[in-house]
Amino acid sequence: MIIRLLLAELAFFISWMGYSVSPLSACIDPVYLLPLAAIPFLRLKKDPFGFEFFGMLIAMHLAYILPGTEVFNSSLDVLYFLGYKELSEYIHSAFPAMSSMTLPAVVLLFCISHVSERKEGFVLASAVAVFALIAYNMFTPINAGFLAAIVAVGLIALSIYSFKAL
Amino acid sequence: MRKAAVRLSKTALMLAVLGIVLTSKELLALSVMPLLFLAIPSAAGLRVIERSFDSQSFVGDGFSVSITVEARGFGIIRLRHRLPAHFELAEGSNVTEGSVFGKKIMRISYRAIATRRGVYRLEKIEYEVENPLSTFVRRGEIQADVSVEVKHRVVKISKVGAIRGRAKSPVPDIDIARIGVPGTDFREIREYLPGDSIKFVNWKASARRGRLMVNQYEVEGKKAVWIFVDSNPYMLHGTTVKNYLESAIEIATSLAYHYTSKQHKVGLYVIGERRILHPDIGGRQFRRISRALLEVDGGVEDVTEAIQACKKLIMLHKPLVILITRVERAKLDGIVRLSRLVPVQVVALEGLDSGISGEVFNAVRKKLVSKIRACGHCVEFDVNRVSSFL
Repeated sequence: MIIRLLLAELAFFISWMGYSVSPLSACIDPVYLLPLAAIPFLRLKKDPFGFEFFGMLIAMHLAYILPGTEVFNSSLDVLYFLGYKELSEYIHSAFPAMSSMTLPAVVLLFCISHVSERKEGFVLASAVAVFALIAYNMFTPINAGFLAAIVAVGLIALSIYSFKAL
Repeated sequence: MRKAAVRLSKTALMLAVLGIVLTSKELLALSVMPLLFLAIPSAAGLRVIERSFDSQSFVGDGFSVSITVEARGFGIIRLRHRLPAHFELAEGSNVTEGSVFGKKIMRISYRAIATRRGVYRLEKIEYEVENPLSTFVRRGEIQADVSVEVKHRVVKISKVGAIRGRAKSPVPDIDIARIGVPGTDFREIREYLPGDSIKFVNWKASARRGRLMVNQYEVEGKKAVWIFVDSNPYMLHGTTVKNYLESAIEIATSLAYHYTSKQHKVGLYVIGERRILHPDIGGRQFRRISRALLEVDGGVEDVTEAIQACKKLIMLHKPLVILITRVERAKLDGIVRLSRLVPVQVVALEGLDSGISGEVFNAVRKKLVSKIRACGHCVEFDVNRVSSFL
């Protein structure tokens, strides 16, 4: 449960960092979102990293998810068609399409928190997470330095797991 | 499927639905991530390579079991040698767990105490092979071929009251068998009956009387004893460890040992199971009776019906009939009638009833015991005492 709590807090911190640099932070000050970090503590007995909390973290990434999608562009088109040309153009310029490295990290942390808390399971899950991150980044552009770091972490995790299992 | 697998599937589904609804390629790509965790396999092959165990034990005594299993594969493996509910684990553990990556030797070693008699076939080892991420688990059983026979310790009975049948003649007699191999002791001359051997014909006496007469000799062996053990449902009153049936079996085992060791022919009838063992002598007969008593589970049969079913054999052997039952619950009309033909001893069990119902049963039992004593012999036996007090 403690590991799950730590992962939830880490996921929140990553999401909050992502939110802070997103255009959405202009609407709601990131400081106001900090108290949300207490949610995992409040749900410590039940499940610190539940679906609801995960949904909230996904919502913090809306600025990265929505722009560029058909739904978002269609909505802007509707606004434009209805005569709100300036508003439509403002939203379009305020929310440029961009990718985020924090969203897959949050998803992976959520997945890791729900698999085994055994040492072997945790290390294997970490290795799978690194592999998943690499696979995910094959579809999206990624910083080369960051990729090298996570590959190194993955290799270390794999070697630790192999050593423990043997 | 484990809880973790359900959660991962739900997460993947939620992200996929969100991706479709919002037409987001990013969310759709993310929905694959949880599925990668579900793709980790687990597989194991298990084989018992060594086993050692004490095949015989007594109620209340411990026995040891040691099983070595070779596990090959990948995952977390749990093994459990399932024990009956009335076994107590004294040492070690009947469960073992380990992470297997390739090949591993796993060992289950424990010492248990059996609190109830019976033949226990502990042949199955349950196993669980779990994925390292706890997402999937596979359960099954492997054969171990372990069998333990738990017997009642035979309590040596110091003395059993001798009961004799009614004398047909004033000549003193000993308890000898009615049928069996003829010995050399002359008994009487009687008329020839079909089936008598020609070598026993007394030609002089036949010539004098004008009809065939034969010499009859005393047969070898002592009188037969026939033990009737009641296993009807009312005998199960008490706990699984201490109840009337267990006490009846303990008494029957002790009596069988007592009489077989004194060269009596001993027979057994389990009322309820309709199991019959014809009277015979010797240690082999005792082992046969002991084994039959080990396997008693109980059933439904009237005592009178049981007596009726064995009546022909009873009349053939003319044995001492010992009935072990709860007299207040059994129908004893048949045994009362039988007491006119052969000596009968009833062991009336008591001691496990308490409260108002216990008082009622006690009163009924005392009345029935005095009724049985009028025509036979009856011993009241407290099951909380050991059977050497019989």
